[in-house]
Amino acid sequence: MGWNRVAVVGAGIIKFGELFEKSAEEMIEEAYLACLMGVDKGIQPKEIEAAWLGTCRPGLHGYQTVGGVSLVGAIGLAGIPCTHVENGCPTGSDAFRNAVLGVASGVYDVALCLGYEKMRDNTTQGLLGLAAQGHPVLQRGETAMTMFAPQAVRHMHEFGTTKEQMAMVAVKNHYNGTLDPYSHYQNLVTVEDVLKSPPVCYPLNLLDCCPQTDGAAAVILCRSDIAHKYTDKPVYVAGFGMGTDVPYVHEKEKLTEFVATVRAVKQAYSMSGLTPSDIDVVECHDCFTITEILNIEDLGFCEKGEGGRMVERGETQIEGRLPVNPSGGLLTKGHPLGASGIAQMVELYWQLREDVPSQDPRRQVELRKGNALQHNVGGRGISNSVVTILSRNA
Amino acid sequence: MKASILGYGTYLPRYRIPREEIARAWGGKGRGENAVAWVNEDIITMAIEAAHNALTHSGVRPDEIGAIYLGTESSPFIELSTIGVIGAALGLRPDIDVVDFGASTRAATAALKTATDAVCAGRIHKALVIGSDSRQPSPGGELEQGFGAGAAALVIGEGPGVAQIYGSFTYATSFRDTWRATSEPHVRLFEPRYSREYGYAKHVTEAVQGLLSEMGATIPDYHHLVLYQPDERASRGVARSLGATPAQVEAADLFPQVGDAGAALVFLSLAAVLDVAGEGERVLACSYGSGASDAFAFTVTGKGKAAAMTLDAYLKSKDYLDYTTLLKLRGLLKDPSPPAKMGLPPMSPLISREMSELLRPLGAKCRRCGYVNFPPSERRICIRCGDTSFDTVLLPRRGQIHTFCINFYLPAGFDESPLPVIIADLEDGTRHRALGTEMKTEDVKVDREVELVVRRLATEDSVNLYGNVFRFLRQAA
Repeated sequence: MGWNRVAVVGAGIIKFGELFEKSAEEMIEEAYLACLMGVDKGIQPKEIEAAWLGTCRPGLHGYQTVGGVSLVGAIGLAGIPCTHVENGCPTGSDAFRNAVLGVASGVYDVALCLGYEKMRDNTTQGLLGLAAQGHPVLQRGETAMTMFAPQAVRHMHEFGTTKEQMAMVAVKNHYNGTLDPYSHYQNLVTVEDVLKSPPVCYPLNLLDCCPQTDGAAAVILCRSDIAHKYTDKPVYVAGFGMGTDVPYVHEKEKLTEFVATVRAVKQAYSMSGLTPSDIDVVECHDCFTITEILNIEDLGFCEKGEGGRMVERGETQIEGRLPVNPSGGLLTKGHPLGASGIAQMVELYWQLREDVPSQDPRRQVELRKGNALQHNVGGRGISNSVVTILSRNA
Repeated sequence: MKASILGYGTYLPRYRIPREEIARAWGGKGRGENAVAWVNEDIITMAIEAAHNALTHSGVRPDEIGAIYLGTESSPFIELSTIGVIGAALGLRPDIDVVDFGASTRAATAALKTATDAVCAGRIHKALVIGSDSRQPSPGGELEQGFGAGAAALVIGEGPGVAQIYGSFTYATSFRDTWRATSEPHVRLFEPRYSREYGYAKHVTEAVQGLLSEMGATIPDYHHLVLYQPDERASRGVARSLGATPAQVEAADLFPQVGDAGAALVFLSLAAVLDVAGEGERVLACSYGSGASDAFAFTVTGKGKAAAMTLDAYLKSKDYLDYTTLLKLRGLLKDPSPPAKMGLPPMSPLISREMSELLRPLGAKCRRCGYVNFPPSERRICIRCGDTSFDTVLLPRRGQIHTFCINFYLPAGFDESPLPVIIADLEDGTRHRALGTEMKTEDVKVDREVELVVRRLATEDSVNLYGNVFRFLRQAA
């Protein structure tokens, strides 16, 4: 495929959480500065030629701040091209994909990609209210939960997946979150805690769901042939893909998978020449516990229907056959929509360089082939997905 | 006269309030129960289901209907016809006679008189006449013990049909006993005894005797007497003084099970009688409302086609409410937070464009691959195969749950919580998504049978938005 290779040479993230004391601009600035500081050999702001901003609901904190200028304006880079990407839950990873395309095209040598979401300045009721703005009849009563919970019911019905197996995803990701200093939640939970947490949307309980979190994360990308100017340990973009699906749930053929994910990962494997067995670590879209189970099937890590049992066998634990969401994932680290995809890139950048910022050595996954897979799925009708494969191999 | 009832259909809400439960809140005693409109029901949704049943029973196609006359005293609107939504949901033609009758519990018999005249004059061939009411009493008042809800519809046309209409008589004076000003939410009553004797008894008696005298008939000529029932006893007293036997009024005695369903009640009681009456039997019916009565004479001529749901089935499939829930249904006990705004208000052009296809509902069946696209106006290119030629099809209303969820955590403005979201495969294999209604959480299961019914989905800027929701099939408990 004719594209100029792209490398990630810097990554930065802020502590995710309920950041009532911080403005959106402060979050952006902090992630940007952390990212600049994260470039091993240093970088000057003026070296950044273009920027991409991922934010999904830019009016959440009270007024509309749509458009790329809200990024460059906040970080003193007004003047350079900046594009705002909004694409549902894959907003951050789609902004990354577009930044990659910008560099891969040869037009830009160095680009910034930053994602943020200020979720917590709004009330939970306010966020739910946004869901009331879909099609007034066809999507009446839809919230984020109602777009994933029916898949859980059908998966349980067809494949015997259990609520206990779903709870084990939360238990694992909470454990991982306690190792990650940037994670919103920092506590352990048990299967019983999850099962006994209040029902939110049957069959999902409170601890099956990600929290409402503020966050921001950023990466710097460049042409891979100049990556060593910035670091001796660049991480390369081995492949990526984006898949879409029909937007209404009644139009979907199967309610036990997200076919957008299947389509996205097929492109990413084909582009990178890699297969599921080449992947050492995964950061995937675990907005709900059931989503992670569907994802590991849709991404090709087990047969359809086996996801729950793969979790139960411990294969997705940080020391397992395929560590999934070592950062704690959306369930524990949090899901600030536009930031989530970029935060996954940040995590995988560190994992592939074997320099995760933690005192606890258990946080680092074991690398075998040096490849990692990032994934988001969401958007209207859970009908778009972005997959990125990163590699330490040039 | 040559107009006949070609078919009839009824609807009663699933929920009943025992009158004892009202007495528990306010004192006194109560016997029997009232049918109560559920939180997403109103006279429009009840009228739609009754009219569906009437069309099925008559065998008349929606496009044959030349007039729709609806009588109610509890329309949600002073200005805004209720009939547009009903016509769209039933698939009636736009070039038909459309009239809202209101302001009285005799509104439906007034509508029947108009339909009969129009058919007899040869101006209309087939008319749909609907009575629908969800009566709103003030809490603690005298009327609360008796107010009910329901709907009934008649298809009127040239006979023979189910029953021939061969006489009518109206008696109206300036008498006033119950009223509701446009600014008031609840019906008021001046004095019960005065109302019963000088209002109800006098007007019903005059109308019935007027009709008998005009027809040269007497009470014993009729097998059944169907009298409007404002309470438990009034109709029995009038029947007795007219010389009727208890056997003549027995079949029409719905008040103990339904309550005063206003404009719907005489049609509901007539349906109860027609369900049991034999061919050749004669029926005399009389309404009452605020100083006026319409009396009609019928002769039973046939049985009609089998209806999906009979009055008996609606009477038997029921659940009971407590008084607190009743207050919530009536909007008297509510969460004060403003409802979450929809993306579009109910009067938006999008809703007008899609109203008919969403309510009936209609699909666009791809001529190449057979996939039924929904809604048709949003899928001009088949979402499965990309073809562009379609046949419009009516989606079946029944299906089985494919999957579902039950949402315990909703934005403000949803009346049912927890709220099921149901994804079902309809009888033709089309997958359909709609909210669930009247479902207990533990009863919702994959593969369970459900059916689509029209309900109020939301209210914004005082305007209602209607759409289909799934409910379990109504079956006798």
